[in-house]
Amino acid sequence: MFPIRPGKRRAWLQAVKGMRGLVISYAITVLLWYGLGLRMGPDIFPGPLRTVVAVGKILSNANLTKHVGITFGRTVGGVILSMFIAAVAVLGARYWGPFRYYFLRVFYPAMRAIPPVAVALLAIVWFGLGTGTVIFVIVITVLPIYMIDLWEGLKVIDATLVEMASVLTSNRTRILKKVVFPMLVPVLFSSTKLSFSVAFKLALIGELLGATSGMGFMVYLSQQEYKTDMVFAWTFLLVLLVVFLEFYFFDLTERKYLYKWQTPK
Amino acid sequence: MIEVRQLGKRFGSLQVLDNLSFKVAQGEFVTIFGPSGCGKTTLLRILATLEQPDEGAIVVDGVDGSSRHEEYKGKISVVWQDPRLLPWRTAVQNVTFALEMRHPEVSKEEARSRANETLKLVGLMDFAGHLPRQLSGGMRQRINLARALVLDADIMLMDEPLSNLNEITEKRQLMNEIARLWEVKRKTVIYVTHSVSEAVYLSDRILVFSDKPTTLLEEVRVSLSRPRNLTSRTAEEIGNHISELFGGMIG
Repeated sequence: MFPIRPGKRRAWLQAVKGMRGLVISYAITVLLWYGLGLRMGPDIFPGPLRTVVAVGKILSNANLTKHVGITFGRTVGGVILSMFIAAVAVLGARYWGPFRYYFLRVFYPAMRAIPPVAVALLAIVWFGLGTGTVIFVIVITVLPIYMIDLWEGLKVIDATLVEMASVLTSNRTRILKKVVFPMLVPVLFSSTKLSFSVAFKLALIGELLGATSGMGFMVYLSQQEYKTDMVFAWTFLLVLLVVFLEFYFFDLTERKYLYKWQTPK
Repeated sequence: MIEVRQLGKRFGSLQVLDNLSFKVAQGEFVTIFGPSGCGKTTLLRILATLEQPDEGAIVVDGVDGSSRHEEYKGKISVVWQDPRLLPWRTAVQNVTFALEMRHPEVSKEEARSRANETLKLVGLMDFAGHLPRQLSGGMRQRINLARALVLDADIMLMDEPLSNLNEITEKRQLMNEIARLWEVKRKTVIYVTHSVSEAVYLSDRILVFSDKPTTLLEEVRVSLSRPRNLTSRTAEEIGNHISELFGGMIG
């Protein structure tokens, strides 16, 4: 075995020290979970060990794992579709006067007020059980997040840059693509980050009420069969997915690519 | 040839430009000079198609700015007071941006090569890959200049490009650079400033504007050889004459 050089050891120790807070937080959560599991019993509140075993069952069975992929696909599809519809609606409202009134007075307030459960029940009638219903529920609920962020984002973009570009060309599409859109990327990014965590929860509701596949449907099935540990395991997997996306994928992308052109504060 | 014909502009009840007429010959360096807030920038914005005049017209080589908008636009480039660089693009990408917007038919390689040549011309080739935030104010203003130059448009409109720069280190240097580049390119330049020294150092002709409503107070021809020496007697006399038009309150 090679001896660890003092410099390397110090770096390793510092990394461990840096992780200390995170480890303690996770440890407290697991202990609380364990305590509740003991107090309430495994059929009502399965403890961490039982849940981990159930997660293992899901991950080792391809027939079960595919439901994670289905939910993930529906969520991504719903979020992308919401982004696209919101971009068209907001740009339309910003640059086309007659639509602006309708957008601000009717479309946007209505979108915000519609309850997702009602939407899910109606979507079952319109689209039947399946992906269409789940994506529809996500779109209706996530759309206002994008719309408000994009609308406000358009208000604060640097108008002098748009003016500079408008002297170079009268082509609005080119100005949108090369000047306005890049300025909106940070706004779109933060909306997407928020939308994903909301959309996963909505996918679960949508699948629970209106689908025959996906994690939500599996939660429903497990609950029907009184397998509380499996309900916990599916929920645990969903939480892991959201945490991974938010704290690793989005945060890393943000740090590495998104703000590299900004002056460090 | 640029012909400004009986131009008028008002904002609400405020008459900013009133019956303004002048001509600028091809390859001439003309400075629009006047006190702050007299409407110089409004005139430049009308010339740049960012504002519409209420009266009169601007005609460039027979092309009316209001009726043949696109053709007119293709003849001008603008150097802004603040550099207006895209912060997510490097220096060279900010220069190619002008070509991407106005001449999308130009290939990426061609645009890059033209941008590099222009950066070389303004002395920034070594900083081509730098982002605007990594450059000094003077350097950013050079990219602003390069972005206008790369278009090879007939007319360059410059809106107080030196006003935000440090007097000692950057202003003099860029003023020399503009004079040198004008001699190389011989573009028609309309330069807006409220600095007498910039006007005398750079221009063939200075159009002195009165305060609101802006009318043409006097035309001063600067017949000095280049490069100019601002401490020469003639340069000082021209400068003093212009200052005296405003009671010595400007300069």
